[in-house]
Order: sequence, then C-alpha cells, then structure tokens
Amino acid sequence: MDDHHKLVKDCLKNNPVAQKQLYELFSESMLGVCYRYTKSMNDAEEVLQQGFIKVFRNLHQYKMQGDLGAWIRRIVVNTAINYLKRKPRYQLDLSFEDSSLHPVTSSEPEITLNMKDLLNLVRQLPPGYQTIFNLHAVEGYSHVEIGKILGINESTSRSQYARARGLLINWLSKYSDNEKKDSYGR
Amino acid sequence: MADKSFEQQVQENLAGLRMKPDMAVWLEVERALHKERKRRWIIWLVLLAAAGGASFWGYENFIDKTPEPGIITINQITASAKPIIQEKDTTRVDEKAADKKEEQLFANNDQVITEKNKNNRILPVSVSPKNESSAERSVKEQPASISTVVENKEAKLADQEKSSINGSGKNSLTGVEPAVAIVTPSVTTLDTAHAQEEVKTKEDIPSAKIDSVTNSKQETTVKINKKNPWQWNINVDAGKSGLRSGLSFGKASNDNFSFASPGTGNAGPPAPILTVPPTIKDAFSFGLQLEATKKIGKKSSLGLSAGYLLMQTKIGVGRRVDSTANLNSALASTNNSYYYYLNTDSVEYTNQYHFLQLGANYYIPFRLFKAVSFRWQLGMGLDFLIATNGLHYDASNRHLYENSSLFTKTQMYMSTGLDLAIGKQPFLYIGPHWLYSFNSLSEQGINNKYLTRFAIQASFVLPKKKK
Repeated sequence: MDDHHKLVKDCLKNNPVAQKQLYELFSESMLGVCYRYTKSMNDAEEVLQQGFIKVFRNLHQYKMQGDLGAWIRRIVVNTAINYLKRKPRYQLDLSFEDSSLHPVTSSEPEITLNMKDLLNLVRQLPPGYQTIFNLHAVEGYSHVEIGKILGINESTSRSQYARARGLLINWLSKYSDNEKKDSYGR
Repeated sequence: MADKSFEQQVQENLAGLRMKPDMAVWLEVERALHKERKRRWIIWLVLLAAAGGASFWGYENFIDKTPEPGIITINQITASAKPIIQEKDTTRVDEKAADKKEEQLFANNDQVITEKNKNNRILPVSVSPKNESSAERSVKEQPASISTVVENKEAKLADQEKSSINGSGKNSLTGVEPAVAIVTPSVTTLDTAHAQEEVKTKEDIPSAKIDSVTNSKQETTVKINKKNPWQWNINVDAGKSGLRSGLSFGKASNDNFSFASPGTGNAGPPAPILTVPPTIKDAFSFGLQLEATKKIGKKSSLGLSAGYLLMQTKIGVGRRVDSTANLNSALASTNNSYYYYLNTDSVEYTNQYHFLQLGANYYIPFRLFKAVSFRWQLGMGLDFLIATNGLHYDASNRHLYENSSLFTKTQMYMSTGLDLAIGKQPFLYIGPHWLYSFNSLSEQGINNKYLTRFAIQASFVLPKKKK
C-alpha cells in the first residue's frame, strides 16, 4: 500500500516513469474489466485507454485511502458504461426498459463454469443485460447502486439482472461443452 | 433468488480476469499525458509572457522616462482675451517687463528689491549685485537708495534675513523696513498686497515628499462558506499613477497650448505669451481596501470593496508667489488660494489626489498544472475625491494655482488584474493590477486627462471566525 502511495505521489509530479509503472501495474486487470463490458477487443482497449487517461487526470482526487486498484476499477467501469452509451453500435441494444421477467427455473443444473466459456457467454448478452450483470455479479454493486449509475429503477435493474442470469444459465447448460465465437470482434 | 454458487463462480472466474493490452494503448495514453503537459507549459508561458508584457507596458507607460509637457488644467483665456493685467497701460507693460526681469533675476539668483504698482503687483525695481555669501539664500535688507518697497509698515524680517542685513534694517529715506524678497528660485516668496507683508525665509514650495506607505491590497478572498458565505479580505497595493490622454495612453498633445511668440510689433494688444506647460510625471500611488467576497456560480466570485486610494503626479514648479491679486478675469474666479507658483520647473511638486474608493470586483479562478492557482479580476467602481493639493495651470500667465473645486469629484474607474494564489486554501493573493478612470481629472473640459495607475496588489484573506 505504501508503495502504491509513493507511486501515486510520483505520478502527481508528472513523473513519466511512475506513470508507466502505474499503468503496467493495473492495465491487465483493467483490460479484463473492459473486455467484459464490450463486444470486441478494440472497444475494450479503447475503453482502457480512455479510462487510464481519466485516472491520471483525476489522480489528485485519490486520497490515499482504500485500495488504489478498486479506485481505478471504479473509474474504468464508469468509463466503460459511458462508452457504451455513446457508441452507436451499442445504443440500440443498451436498453434498460423494464420488461416483464422471463420465467426462471428454480432448479438449476450443476454448472461448472469455465472462465473462457463464461466470459464469452457474458459478452454475448445484450449490452443492457451484460452491463447490469457485470455490475452486480462481478463488480458487486447493489441494484440500488446500479440504478443510480445507469439512471434506472432498482426494480428494472433486478429484472434485467434476472433475465441475464437466466439466459446465461440456459446457455451454459446447453453449450457449456461447446466453444462460442465472439460475434462482434476478433 | 440468485444462486450464490453461481454468482460466486462468476465472481471467482471473471473478477480476476487479466488480459495483456496492446502496446499502442500505452502510447496513446502517454501521448495524451504529454499533450496535457505541453498544454500546461504553453498556458504557463502565455501567462508569464502576459505578466511580463503587462509589466513592460506598465513600465513604458507609467514610468515617465522621457517626460513630456503636460497640463493639469488650462484656463480659458485665449490670445484675444484681455485679462486685467493686459490693459493698454504702462502697468501691464511694467508688469510684463517685471515678469521677464524677475525670471532673469531669479535665474541669476540675484537679490531683488521690489515695489508695488497700483495694482498691488510687486515688481522688481532694483537688483543688488550678486553676493557670494548669498549662497545661503538669506535675504538682505535693501540699501537706502531704494525708493519704495512696502506699504505695510509692520513688515517683519525673518531672523535669518536680519542676520544678513547690514545694520539698521530700515530704509534710510522712508524709515520703513523694506520688504525683502528671498531670492531663490525654489523658495522665494513675495508678499504682495497682503496686509502682513511677511517675508518668509523658509522655503514655501512644498517639498515633494512621498509618504512612505504600506502596500495596499485590493484583491480579496474567493472562498465560499455555505454557512458564512462572505469572505473578508484586506487589499493593499502600491505602484505608480499618472495622467493619460485616454485609453490609448498617447502622449499629451500641446497644440492647444501653443501661442504666437511675443513682440510682433502689432499696435493692438500684446500677443499671447508662448507657454510650455509643465511636465507631468508619474508618481507613487497606493491603496488600502477592505473587501467582502461571495461565491457566485461554480467558480467565480463577486467582491464589494471600500477603501482609500492615493494617486499622485509630479510636476516642476517655480517659486511660490503669495498673492491675492486677480491675475486675470478668468483666473480670479477660480483661484481660491492665496498663492501661485511660477512655471519655471525649478523644484518638484507632488500633486496628491486622495480618494475614497467604492468598487465591485468579479473574480474567475483557474489552475495551472493542477497545482498553481490563479485568478483573474475585473472591477468597476467610483472614486470620490476627498482631498487634493493638485495644481492647475494658467497658460496665459504661466502660473500654477491650487483650486480643488475644479477637479472632478466623482470618477468612475475600471480595473483588471491577475493574482497568484498562495497557499492550499489561499491566504494571500498577489499580482499586477491596472486601473483607469473614465472621467477627466479636470472639470474644465479642456485637454481631458485621466488618472491611471499600475500597481502590485496583495490581498490578505482574513480568517473566518470559528463558531
């Protein structure tokens, strides 16, 4: 933690070596975050780039309290969400309308999740579902918090998440042994 | 309800996902950071250049290196006017000649014996030879050959004069102690028709003292407290003030004050005297204000200030002449003092203008490199002239006289400046400021000149009271 604080201080002095060191320290994990929210590696890297620029511009707001990685993660997630809202290819699918719940089976087959498969399946969700699923299931935001982030009702967030979860489970049970190609990017 | 195991698995699998980005991503990030650093340097350089330019401009315009003749005020007597003195009589001729003679005498530092004419105008009638010891500038009693000197028999000689007087101190013919003029270009005063007829030995021309003043600040704090929104500041600034022809800060034109040279041989009234108005130089200025500021909007703030402002200019004057004589018909109505100065540019005189200043200021803060805070100030207000010893110039008689009623009492001004904030929560703002008055200093409406000043201002933020 002290190393991170020293690194932050050096970055605030516009030390280019420290800035690169900070980037290398967190870029791989942050790219994983970006990849989960987007449909292609190009989009993920663009979000990563914008996210880190924001990180360095707002680094003076980091008060040396809490995990630096978590602080950077929040910035990157927000950057990803804003990116999805701005990009035309996502706007049509980025719907958070409160629609009726799809029926979800209470009994779920035992699923052994494979990271690669899971990742691919999550990325195949509609952008709206994908975002809410990532925010709740992976980032750990509550539906209230998700509602504030996305500007939607808590109930909408719950229903969207339930639908996303149902889809994933369905797909996983059907296609867990098969490889799915990324339909959007490389 | 969500299956915890599913969520747990999702989190375990996806939360720690790491992927190596392309090198191009860091290059783009680095380029953006470099661009930002470059932009900050450019802004910093622009501000420094602006500050340097403003300083240079202020130096060029406010520090009068090559002073030009300027006029504080000019009376309205033109060449065709006929002041009382300029009558077709020997009196005028005598006085005119006396003028020339006086100046010659004074220039030579000779001792002058005077007499009064029927207009109570003291005229030099005799000149005693130069006395080497008169370097002490003491007045000597006139020799007995002088016919008339003083009407007032109660004329007193200063101790300094008596010490240099031969002995009797009296005119051997009239038995009256002669009025003695102290013949020094810078200090001599002549009692004219005044009852006292005192001959002063001390220098009467006010010395060009410059008050040592603390810097006054005008700028104020900018911070806002929601509970106590008003922030109090003390502004102190010091700099130089001067008179300018306008916003262009061009040099004063002397076209209005050039007259034909005398001695044209015309049968009519004498041609106006060729005049050279006195040079007006910039002089020290300072101000002290109390200001209350309040934040308006996201960043900007508004300040209301009240305080004191001293603006000065310097001119060269000649000897002071104590006189209640009406030098001319126009001047008679304007001269409210019992003395005037000859325009011989012998000693320095400081025109002081004391103002009560009320103003409003608008501040916009900004930061450079996220570490250096600045704020730009724009203000307007009113200056109320409360006291002055400023002189007006009578071109026809080459006299400088005092009359405060001829100055514009209420002047509107505009000011602008750039402050550097000192401290994290700034407790001090310091930077260059410039002020320009919209109203002409003189109410006479001739050769309008405007007070301007350039100063360095420091603004101390007063700490807020703790509840």
